[in-house]
Amino acid sequence: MLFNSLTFVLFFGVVLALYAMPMAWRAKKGILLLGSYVFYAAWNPPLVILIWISTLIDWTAARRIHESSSSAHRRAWLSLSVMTNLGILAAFKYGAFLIENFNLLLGWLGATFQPAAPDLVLPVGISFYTFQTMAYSLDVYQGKTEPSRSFLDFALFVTFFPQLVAGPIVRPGYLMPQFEKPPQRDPGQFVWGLFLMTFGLFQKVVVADNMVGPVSDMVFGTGGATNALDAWTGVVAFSAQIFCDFAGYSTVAIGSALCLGFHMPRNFRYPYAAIGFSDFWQRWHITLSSWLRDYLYIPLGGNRKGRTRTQVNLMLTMLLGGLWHGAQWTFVVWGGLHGLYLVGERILKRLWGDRSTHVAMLFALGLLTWVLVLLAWVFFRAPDFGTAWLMLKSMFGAASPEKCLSSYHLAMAWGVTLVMLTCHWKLRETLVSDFVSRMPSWLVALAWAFMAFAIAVSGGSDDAFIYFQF
Amino acid sequence: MTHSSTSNSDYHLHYHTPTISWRAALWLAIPLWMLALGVWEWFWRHQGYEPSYLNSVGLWADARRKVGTDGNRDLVIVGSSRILFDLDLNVLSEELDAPYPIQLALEGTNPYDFLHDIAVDPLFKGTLLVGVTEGLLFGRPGGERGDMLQRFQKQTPSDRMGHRISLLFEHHLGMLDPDLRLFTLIERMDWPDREGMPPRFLGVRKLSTMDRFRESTMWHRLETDLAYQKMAQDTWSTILSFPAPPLTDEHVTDVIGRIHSDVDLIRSRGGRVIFVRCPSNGHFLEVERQAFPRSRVWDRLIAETNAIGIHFEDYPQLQGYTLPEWSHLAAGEKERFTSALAKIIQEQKET
Repeated sequence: MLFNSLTFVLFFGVVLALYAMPMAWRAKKGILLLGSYVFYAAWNPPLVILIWISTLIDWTAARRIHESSSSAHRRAWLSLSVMTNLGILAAFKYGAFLIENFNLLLGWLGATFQPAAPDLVLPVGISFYTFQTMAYSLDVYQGKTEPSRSFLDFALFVTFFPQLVAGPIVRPGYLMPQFEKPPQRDPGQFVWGLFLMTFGLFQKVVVADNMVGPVSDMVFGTGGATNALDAWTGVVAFSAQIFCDFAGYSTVAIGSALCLGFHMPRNFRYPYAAIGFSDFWQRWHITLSSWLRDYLYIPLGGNRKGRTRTQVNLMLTMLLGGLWHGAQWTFVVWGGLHGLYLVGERILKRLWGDRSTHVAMLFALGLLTWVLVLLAWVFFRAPDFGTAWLMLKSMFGAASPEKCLSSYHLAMAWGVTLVMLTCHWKLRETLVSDFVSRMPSWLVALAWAFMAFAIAVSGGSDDAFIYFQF
Repeated sequence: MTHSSTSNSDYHLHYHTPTISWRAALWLAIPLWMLALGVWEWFWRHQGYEPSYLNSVGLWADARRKVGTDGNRDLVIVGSSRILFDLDLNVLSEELDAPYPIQLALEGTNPYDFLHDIAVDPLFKGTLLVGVTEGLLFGRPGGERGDMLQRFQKQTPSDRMGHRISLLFEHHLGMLDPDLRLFTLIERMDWPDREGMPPRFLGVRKLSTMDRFRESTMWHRLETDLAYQKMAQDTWSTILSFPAPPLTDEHVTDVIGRIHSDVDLIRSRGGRVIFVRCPSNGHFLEVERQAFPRSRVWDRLIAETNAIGIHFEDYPQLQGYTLPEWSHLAAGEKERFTSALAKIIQEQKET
């Protein structure tokens, strides 16, 4: 079910109404769990079974890991959990990709055998919930958390609908304790949640889908060969689109969880105001980057095994992070570029130290970071390497003099980009909550009414969130 | 990413509730929002935008799912905007003594894929009316709504529920018209042309309204507002001036061959196919005659598929109607045209 659909409006209204009824806390959690399954099944009912498999395996594995004193048994149960989750991911998300590349390799070696690629539906949000539930087994194995005593709480942790299909990826130690007893709400939390939901939908429906999405679609739709201004416009439009699409989703998720009384971690902190790439990854998709750091980079050795090994660990983490986004080599290259950026930044910091304290220098470094992020987005957005390469050539004026955008599209893309960059820089050290706290109530109401009006008159788009496909 | 520590304070930073009066904000925002929507709706109603059902995937899917429900009495229509706008479904049903027709025609779309979809549906055993607009049927595959079948096949339970909810609002709100979407309106403002770019083409403006069963009727403004009518004619002139690959006999043979197979498939189940060429006039008809001469296209289609073909030029009773923008019948003409067409179909059936 999409947040930007009438079905969700009805669904959320029904869930809120049932949840508000006087009943035992356990019954309310049962409603949330049932609602979460309905939320997922509204897209493709049979695929709920995959969530049940993950839930049952990880619940059992974590308990056995905790109860067993034999390290061999503990490892075996952990392996079962990890292999089940990665197996589901591999089969449904990477199966066709693996076979396609296997066939290429066979062809390169001169073999004629060509196994057929499986034609499986990609379950929405599979990368999110498998990572979330796998973190539970890993945390219990590492002794960071105790297994939940309540199957209901655990099942709800895996399935909780606000963040089920596109995050934020929540850790067990963060969310499950919130399910133990009825939440204590701040005054105004429910309405603040509604406000955030409106703000998130505004970012998605108005900005991403209507203002900048069509511009990037138009430019990348040319196959990449266009004039330099149009090529840069297409890429900045995509950078705004993907931010507003994904941050919009996260904001609706956080808002809807707040309405129910639960807190979710922040997923974005004005990423286009990042100065450097370690800063960028503490601002962009924070819950994924921290997941990769804690469950991949650090277990690989992190920065504890010398400089070279640190760089290798960074590259491996970012390459796999790229692959997490989709079964295409273009995503791997996107991750690889970010890996190189991070490695390069570490080398430069070691050589020159951290001397960049002047405001102008910080701004220049921020601008450089943004431009390098834009170059990487080309691989993320392009459907193939041919398009990506042509787009890069176009950006440097070496592909085609043909224009493809009207003055309207130029104004939309650069107007949104300018506003977005200004907001990110102005607010880079603040929280949205603090910003809103400084506004008078009437101004909040005016902004709220404006956003809701713009959503209503921008027209229903049935575009799914970009991150659903991951 | 560069910190080797699991303690990460930013991860636990969540949105605390801002300390403002949220109750006041909510009770001010709701009336402001409703007032803005009310003024917006009032303004567009004043401009002649009456509520109408949306020509959505959901509405089309509802119609498509009815195919096969009336066995060999099924009356299904595929084609493009002419057969969509020109037929009065009630009259057609009454005159042919058939169940209510299933209107599947889609504006600006090559109908071949939809004809094929019906042909391979084993449940369909009835009568299929195929609207022929040569530039579309013998043009490029797909078109304006060419992805409709895929979107129908990919409809999720959530999509279907969303459509049910949407139906509750659509016929009460004029502002839901696709022409009135905020960014459509902004894009249609007088933006300067960009040097080196051809003049902007902003697509076809609103031409019709639609009811719950996809019966479309020409929007009254095309008949009453001469400037709007002229704009619609200019839009067709622009579209007709777009470069198109020249029509080759090989291509015509290929298209007719595929259609022939589908017609045979329908016949093998006891069904029948009737091709209908609805009226056009003015500059539109001139270009069509030039680009798609009857002898090379229509006559071959009918002869080689051995199907019933009803071309408006062959029947005086299908001529002389008002077509405000050269391509579709005025609202008041539908009933008479449909009645005349139905009588011809009936005669063909009996002979």
